[in-house]
Amino acid sequence: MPVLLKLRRIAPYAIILALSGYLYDLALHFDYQKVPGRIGPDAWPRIILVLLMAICAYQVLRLALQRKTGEVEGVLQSLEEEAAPSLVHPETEHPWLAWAGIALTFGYLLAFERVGFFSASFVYLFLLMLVGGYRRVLTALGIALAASLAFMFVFMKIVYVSLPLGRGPFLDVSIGVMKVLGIH
Amino acid sequence: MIEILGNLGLGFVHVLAPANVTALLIGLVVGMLVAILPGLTLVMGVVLVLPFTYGMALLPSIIMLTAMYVSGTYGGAFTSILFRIPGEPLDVPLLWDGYTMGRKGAPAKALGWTLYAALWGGLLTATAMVLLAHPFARFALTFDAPEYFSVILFGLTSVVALAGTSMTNALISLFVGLLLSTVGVDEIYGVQRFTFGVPVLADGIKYVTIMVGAYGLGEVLGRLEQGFQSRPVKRSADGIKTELPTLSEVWKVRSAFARSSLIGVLLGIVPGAGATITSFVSYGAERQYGKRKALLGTGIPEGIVAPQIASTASVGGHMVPLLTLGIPGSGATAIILGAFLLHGVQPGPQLFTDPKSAALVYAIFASLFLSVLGMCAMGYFWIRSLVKVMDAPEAVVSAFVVLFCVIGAFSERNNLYDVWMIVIFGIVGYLFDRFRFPIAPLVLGAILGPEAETSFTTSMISHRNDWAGAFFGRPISCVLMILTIAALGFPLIRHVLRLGRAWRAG
Repeated sequence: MPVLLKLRRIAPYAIILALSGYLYDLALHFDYQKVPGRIGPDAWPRIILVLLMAICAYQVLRLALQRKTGEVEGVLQSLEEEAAPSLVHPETEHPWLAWAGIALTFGYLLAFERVGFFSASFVYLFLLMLVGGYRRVLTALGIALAASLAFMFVFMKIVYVSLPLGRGPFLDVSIGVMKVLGIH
Repeated sequence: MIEILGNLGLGFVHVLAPANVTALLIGLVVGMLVAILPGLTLVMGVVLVLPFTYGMALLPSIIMLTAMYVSGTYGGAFTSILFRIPGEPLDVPLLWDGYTMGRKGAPAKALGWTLYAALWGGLLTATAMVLLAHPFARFALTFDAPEYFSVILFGLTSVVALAGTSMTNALISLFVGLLLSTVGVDEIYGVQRFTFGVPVLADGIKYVTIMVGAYGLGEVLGRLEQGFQSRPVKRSADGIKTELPTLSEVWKVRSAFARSSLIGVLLGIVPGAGATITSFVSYGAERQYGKRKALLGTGIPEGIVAPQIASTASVGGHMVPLLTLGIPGSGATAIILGAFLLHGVQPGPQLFTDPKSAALVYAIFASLFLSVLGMCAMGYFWIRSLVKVMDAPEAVVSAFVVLFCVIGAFSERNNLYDVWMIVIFGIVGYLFDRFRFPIAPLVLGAILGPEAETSFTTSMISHRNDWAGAFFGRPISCVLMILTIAALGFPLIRHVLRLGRAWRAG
């Protein structure tokens, strides 16, 4: 197995192992009054963390030593893989698309209060559809507009959720939309 | 028995109230749509509806979610049989015989077999639920903290053992979920744990944000990575009607009906064996024990009824441990448990002892009967209209899903913190999926973690830290612990035996 691929396979377990070690150390220092003969609030998290570290360490060693011991499978793994390999291992993968989606979502949340729900959702929905491969720009714009209006109407007028209206010019836009939708 | 029937009758009266009927109809339609749309999974759909139940009363909320769950096991059959597109993984076995029967010129008949199977499986599971719930609850009333801990542990480990993935990854996912449930102020000592000085973390991490993030946003990101289907599916179901098989035809496949009914209900009760698993296992049993096993895959009715009956029959099976022990056995029942907890009700044997909550339970039972009848009627009369939703491009549907997740999280407390948590758990869900860590153990661990910790700590304190005495010194707890060890040990032994065989074969 190439070194890079091996490292890539080991990485998730190594990261969880390191994080568990750090959390275990934190659990050792929980601030509470110890009662002799009674387990404290650190006992349960420490048990979980020890088990987690043990499994991760096993996986790291197994993958690092590249022993041909294989993986302990859940009872139904082979059944599912035989039945629908495409569902278990999809053929095409474009991780950058997922990360673009994550970046867009981060941007949306950062703009949520400043720009207001309506404007932020309109832009976000439109861009997410484009990132998702939908190429009918005008239709996407129409859908994004209709969806933002519909969500605003349902949640502000019917469910009574106080959605952010934004600041400055965006506030004016939100208030204008609310007037159009009959939200007071 | 008379008492049960009387309570069930009252349950029907409760369900027929306008608000409950409306919730039931909405649940059926949304469940069908979610099952038909390839970009949406059933669990994701139930998660997205959950925030809408915040403002509703408990009974219509549970009726709606249960109706979604049951109709979701049926809706995907249509797209599998007609277009060879399984709406859900549980519909995959229907491709082999259902779609083949359709290609041989009998799609209407294939739909008819599915309808019969769903109707039979659904009514059977509802009946089994009514009959099994009371004895289960009575038995659960004898439980003390050690038994509770053991039963939770057994539930969690069977989810791991049955996982359709690496068992080590499933265990890691479970432990991460359990660990997330420890964040915040400890219930017994009042100590802050893993809060990192962040005030909002003192309240803990809400399992709803984990569920909505991992199942909702996480799945959208996963689908995005695989490239959305950007063009709508241009296929037509026009002119296709459901043709019901005759009773003599049904009689010929009675053993398939009996086998799959048994598998569906029994596997449904085991935590972890969701509708997908029961559907595959039932098809597998037919392949092994069926009278016409050699013809499976060529479009015979047994290949349609076996997976369909089992997946629909598993619903009631899942509801039994949920209502009597408070232990969800699948992703969808975990969300239904979430709805109970959001309304301040903890499912468990006490639900059956208090007359007011017993009425609620029987109304839920009654709603399952009506849901089954409703979904079959819907499948018979409206399916051509419902499959039209497949014209919606996946990119558009997914954009809506994300917006639902965001607003759903925001609307509970008008707090952006919850939305950020959803995004974080969406990324966690996506990464878990990418590195083949299953999501269900994470979610179940997060939900059942507090209960597991409380019963473990209480048992240890009351038994003066003697864990062997607490968990192995009491008969029920001991049996459950042995079952837990067996559930974890079986895949391990199977693995070692396989290695041995491979080694002997050189």
